[in-house]
Amino acid sequence: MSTVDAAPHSGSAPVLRATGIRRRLGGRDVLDGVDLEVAPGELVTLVGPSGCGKSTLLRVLAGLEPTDAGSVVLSGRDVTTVPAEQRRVGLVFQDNALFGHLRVARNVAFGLHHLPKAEREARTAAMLEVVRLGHLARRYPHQLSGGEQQRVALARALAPQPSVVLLDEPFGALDEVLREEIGWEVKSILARSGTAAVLVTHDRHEALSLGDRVAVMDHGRILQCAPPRTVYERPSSRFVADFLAVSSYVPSASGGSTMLRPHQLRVSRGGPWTVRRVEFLGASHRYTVQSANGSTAVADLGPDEPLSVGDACDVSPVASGVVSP
Amino acid sequence: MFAGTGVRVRPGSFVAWTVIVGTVALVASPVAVLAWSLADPSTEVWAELWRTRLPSMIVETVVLVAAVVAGSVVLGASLAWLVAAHDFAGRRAIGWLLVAPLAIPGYVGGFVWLDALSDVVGARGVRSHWLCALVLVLSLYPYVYLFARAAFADQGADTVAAARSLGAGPFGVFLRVALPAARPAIAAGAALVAMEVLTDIGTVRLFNVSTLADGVMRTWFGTGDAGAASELATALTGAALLLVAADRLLRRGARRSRGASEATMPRRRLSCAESTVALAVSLGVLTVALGVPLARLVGWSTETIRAGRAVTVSGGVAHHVASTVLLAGSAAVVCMAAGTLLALAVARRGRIAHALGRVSTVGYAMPGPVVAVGAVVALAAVDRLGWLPDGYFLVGSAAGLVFALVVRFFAVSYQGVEAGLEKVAPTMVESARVLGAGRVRSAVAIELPAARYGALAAAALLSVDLVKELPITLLLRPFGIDTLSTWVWQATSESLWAQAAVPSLVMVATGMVAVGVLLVALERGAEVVS
Repeated sequence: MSTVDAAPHSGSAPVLRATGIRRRLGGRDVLDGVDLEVAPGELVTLVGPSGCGKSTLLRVLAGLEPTDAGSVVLSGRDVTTVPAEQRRVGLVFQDNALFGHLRVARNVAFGLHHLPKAEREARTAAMLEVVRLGHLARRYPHQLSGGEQQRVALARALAPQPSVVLLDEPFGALDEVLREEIGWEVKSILARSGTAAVLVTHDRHEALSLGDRVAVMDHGRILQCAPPRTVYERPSSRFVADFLAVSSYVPSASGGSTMLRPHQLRVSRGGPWTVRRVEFLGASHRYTVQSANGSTAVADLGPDEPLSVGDACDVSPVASGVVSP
Repeated sequence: MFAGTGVRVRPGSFVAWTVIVGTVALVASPVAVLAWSLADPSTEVWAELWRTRLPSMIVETVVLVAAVVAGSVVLGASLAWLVAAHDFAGRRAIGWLLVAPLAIPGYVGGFVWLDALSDVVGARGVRSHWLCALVLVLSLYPYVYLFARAAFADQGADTVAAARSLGAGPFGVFLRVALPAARPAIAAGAALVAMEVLTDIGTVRLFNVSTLADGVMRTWFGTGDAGAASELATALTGAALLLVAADRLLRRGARRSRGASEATMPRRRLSCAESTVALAVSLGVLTVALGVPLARLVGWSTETIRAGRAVTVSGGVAHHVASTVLLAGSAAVVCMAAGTLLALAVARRGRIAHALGRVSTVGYAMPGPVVAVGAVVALAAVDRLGWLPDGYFLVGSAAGLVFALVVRFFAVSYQGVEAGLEKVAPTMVESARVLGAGRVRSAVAIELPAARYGALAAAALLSVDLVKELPITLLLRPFGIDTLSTWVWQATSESLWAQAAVPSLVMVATGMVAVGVLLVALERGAEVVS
């Protein structure tokens, strides 16, 4: 798992650079000046509440949606006005959009139209091996499981060797267990093929666990784009902090307040706070506690003997936390 | 100031718009021309018509349409409910067979029953409005049945379960949940039925019912008075337009009620006694609508062929079959090709394109005689321009007839392919584009294959319609060319039932094959549309 703080490939020239992207739809700025860069081989997750513009951004990058302003540069080529079929990006949809009347192999070969037959077949077979579905090449999409279908869709998108793959909530239609598994699978396939990717999701855990960097979007803007640990522990805004995880704000000496994640707070028996809610998380308990003046805090660390609702307690940070933006 | 980037206007857009405007203009021209020529009605003709035949024609038309629609809705919807919501021995086979009467034109069933009943009630008593309506119901109820069955089957299991849990019995579910939910579909089927009645000239002639369509034909052939014929065509058009309006009104409301993942309507297992009743009812309908006509036709045909009389008709069977295949075939090919092109050009091209696309379906909302008159006016206008080589005229040519047939039935192919294309997920087309496919490759490799069953269903329905088509063929066929349907028309107008049996049988057999293809397409996910 990547927990480095800097962008992993920050040295090299970006494969994708979107600058000042604007898009107005239905009298609303769906994209309000978006800048995004993706380095070679990097996986950027794009996360935000529904309607924040993340899917529209992906469609703009793919060329399926025009831009009102701004530019899209792919591998050094300005493709802002290039139609989708000439952009050479990969695209994977939530509904996988496999061609139902074509066998798996023909689906994967669809984007290799321009190659000679032998080369096309070799590339298709190789691609199916990468997603470990070589044995299903002769099947039709509807004969596959949801996870297998999504892997075929990825193989199809990767086959023409695009410089960047765009994934629009690719695991949204899968159940939770399968979702986690295929998420990791996709990440490793992308790493093996060395393809850069932008993955749109509304699931913050997915965004944090899969992304080399996480871009948090709201109201048509990217609020912060940084490695997972940075956006989690040092969010640039209160929205980013609250969107990614539960946080507590403790008054700080400097007059502002300090943001602390639940794992950075410990409750102890007796004190001015009152336990309002106890959630059993398996390995630990999560306490929601309230102070006399009404402010609340959420803590994952507590005494060995669990507290109960209504107990008096105290809260203390176990890490320095960050000064809240 | 930020000019919309080039992504919006894609190459091929020009071609698509040319296709859209060109096709629509051609297909809608006869109706437009007719509307134009009727903008100044000749008051003398109208006054004469009002004094004499028109009022009674309007009454007879309205009564007949109302009776046939009511009968078809009751019969079609209840049979559809029986098959869609119940389980009994033979359900599948009966479900399919109940569509088959579609292959028996009203004017064929008509003369069979006319002959069979004249022994019972006398030759005079049998020519009644009510028998005419009954015969038409038996050949047209499958339209309502098809639409209603699809709508019932589409209703979710959860909806029915919810109704049951709220205390509705099986009949209550039908009356209070299933029927109202299927209303738009039933209305669509009923509209088709009504249109078929408005356009019918063969059946009404058999039973001496003077409808507006019959009036247009009689005026055209009897007096050769094109003015009066086209004034009558206006009245007929008015009736058709009222119908379209009523249909739109009834069809408002949700089309789909079932969630994508939800199970379809559960079927209630019938008890032994109930099964017997269900079987008796459906087999009874099948006997009257299908069994008796078929048996009669086969009987007459063997007699005629044995007696060697079938060849006495000018040109013989071969000529009629050949001209039917040629005319209906070319009309079907032109319809499917142009309809597919238009549907592809319109797909995902915005509201204006869709609205224009709908204009192309105007011919299907016009009764056959109206389209024929309009086509003649339009074609004669082209002939007068003198662009064609000397001695060639579109009026009275095979090309002219095919054109009129295409105008009348274009909607069947266009809407069928369009419905198929609508089922192609937009993401699928976008995936193809991102993988480098241009508009043409995307259409050929992805969209059309995905729409193939919709197109197949359309082609089958088109064949049924074209083979039994009568008014346009009668009015516009080139001199010396006869089809199966005009042979039947001629033989039955002289009450030569046995003479009409052979061509009827060939027609019904062709229709059966087409209905079979239609059913296969429906099984594979095509949707009936109108």
